Amino acid sequence: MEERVQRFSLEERVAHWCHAVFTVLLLATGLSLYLPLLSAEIGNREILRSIHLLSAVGFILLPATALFRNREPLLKDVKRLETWEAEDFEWLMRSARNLLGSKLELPAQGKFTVGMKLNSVFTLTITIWLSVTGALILLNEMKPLQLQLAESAVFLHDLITFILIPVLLGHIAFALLYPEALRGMILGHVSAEYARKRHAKWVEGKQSDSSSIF
Amino acid sequence: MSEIGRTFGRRLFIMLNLASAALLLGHRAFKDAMLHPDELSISPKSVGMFRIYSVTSEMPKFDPKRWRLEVTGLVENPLFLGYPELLALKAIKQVSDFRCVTGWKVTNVLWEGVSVKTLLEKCGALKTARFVNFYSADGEYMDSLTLEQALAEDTLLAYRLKSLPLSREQGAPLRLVVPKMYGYKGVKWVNKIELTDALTLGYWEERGYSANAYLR
Repeated sequence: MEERVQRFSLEERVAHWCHAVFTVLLLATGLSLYLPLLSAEIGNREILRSIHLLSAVGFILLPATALFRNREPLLKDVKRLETWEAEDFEWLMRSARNLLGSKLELPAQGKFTVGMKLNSVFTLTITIWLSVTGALILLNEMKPLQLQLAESAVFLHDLITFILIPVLLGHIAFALLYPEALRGMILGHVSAEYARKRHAKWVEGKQSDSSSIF
Repeated sequence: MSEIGRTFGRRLFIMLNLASAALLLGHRAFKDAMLHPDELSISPKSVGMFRIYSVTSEMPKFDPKRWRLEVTGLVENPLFLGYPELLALKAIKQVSDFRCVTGWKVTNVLWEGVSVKTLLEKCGALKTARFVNFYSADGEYMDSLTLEQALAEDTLLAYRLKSLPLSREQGAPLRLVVPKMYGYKGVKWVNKIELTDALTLGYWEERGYSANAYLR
C-alpha cells in the first residue's frame, strides 16, 4: 500500500474550500456588477448584490469558524508560513536566475514552498482589504460617508480585485500542475514520494513523528 | 536562522497592509496633486467610466414611433408626449459631475434635454402636489423628488449624453439627471411622471437607501 503523509487538518481544508468557493462567487458577482458589458447583459442588480454581500459574509466567517475550532495545526502552519529559512531566499534567487536561462538546482523546501508563503501573505492581505473596502462601500450606500473616502474605497476594492485575478489564476494553475498537492488539500494527505520530492525538509522533520506518516 | 528570516512573512504582510492603507487614505490626495486646476478650467474633459446598473433582467427597448411620456397625477392638464414632441420642447445643456453612491464618479458630463420645470409648467401642477414620481419603462424602478427639487433649474430629463442620443444602457430615450444628488435618483428609461401629495419611496430607498440623496 502506498505510503501517505498527513498534510492538512480537516478544519484547514474546510476553511480553504469555503474561502475558495466564496472567492469565486464574489468574483463572478463582482465582475457582473462592475463590468458594463456584463452588468448590461445580466441586469438584476439587486439579486447579484445580495449574493455578493452574502458571499462576503461566508468568505470571512466560515473559514474563520473552521480554523477557530482546531487552532493547533493552524498556528503551526502560520509559524511555518511566516518563517523564511536561508534556503527560501536562496530558492528565490536561483529561481529568478533560472527564469533568465540558468539551470541551477533548487534547495529543498519545507512544508510550504516560497510560492505558497508569498501566496498566503497576498491572500490574507487581499481578504482583509477587500473586506474593509467592501464594508466601506456598503456603509456609504446606506449612509453616505465623506465623498473622498467612498471614492478611495471603491478605487482600492477594484484595484485589489484586479490583482486578485492573476494571483488566483496562478494558484489554480499550480494546483493543476501538481495534482498531488491538490489531492493534499482535498484528502488531507499526499503520497510520501511526492512529499519527499517537493517538501524534503518537511518530511525529514516528520520522521520522528510516526503518526503523521501512514 | 536570522531574525529577519524568522519573521519575514510577517514583515511582508505588514508592509503590504501599510501600502493598502496608504492607498486608501492617500489616493485622492495623490490624484488631486497630479491634476493642474488651470488645465481643468480651460478644457473640461469628462473623466471616468459609467458603470451600467439595471434591476431587471432585460433593459427596455426604445421604439421612437410607439414611445410616449405621460405626465399625470395632480396636474391641471395631463400630458402625453411622443418622442418628436419631446424633442421640440426647449432644450438645455448642462455639464455636471455624475456620482454613484457606490463610490465611482464621472466628471464633466455633458447632458442635453428638457428641464423638468418646463414640463411641469406645461401641465400645471395643482396646489396639492408635493412630490414628483419618475417611473422607468422597465416596470420596476422608480424614484421621487419633492416638487421643489423637481423644479430646480438643474433637474433635467436628458435625451442626449456627450452630444449623442442616449444609448439603451444609459436609459434611452430619457433619463432623469439630478446633479446635486447620487445617481440612484437618476431614473433611466423614464416613460411616466406622476405628481402626488404623499412621498413614495424609490426602489433602492425601500431597500435601505436614504430618500435624501444629496451629495455629502
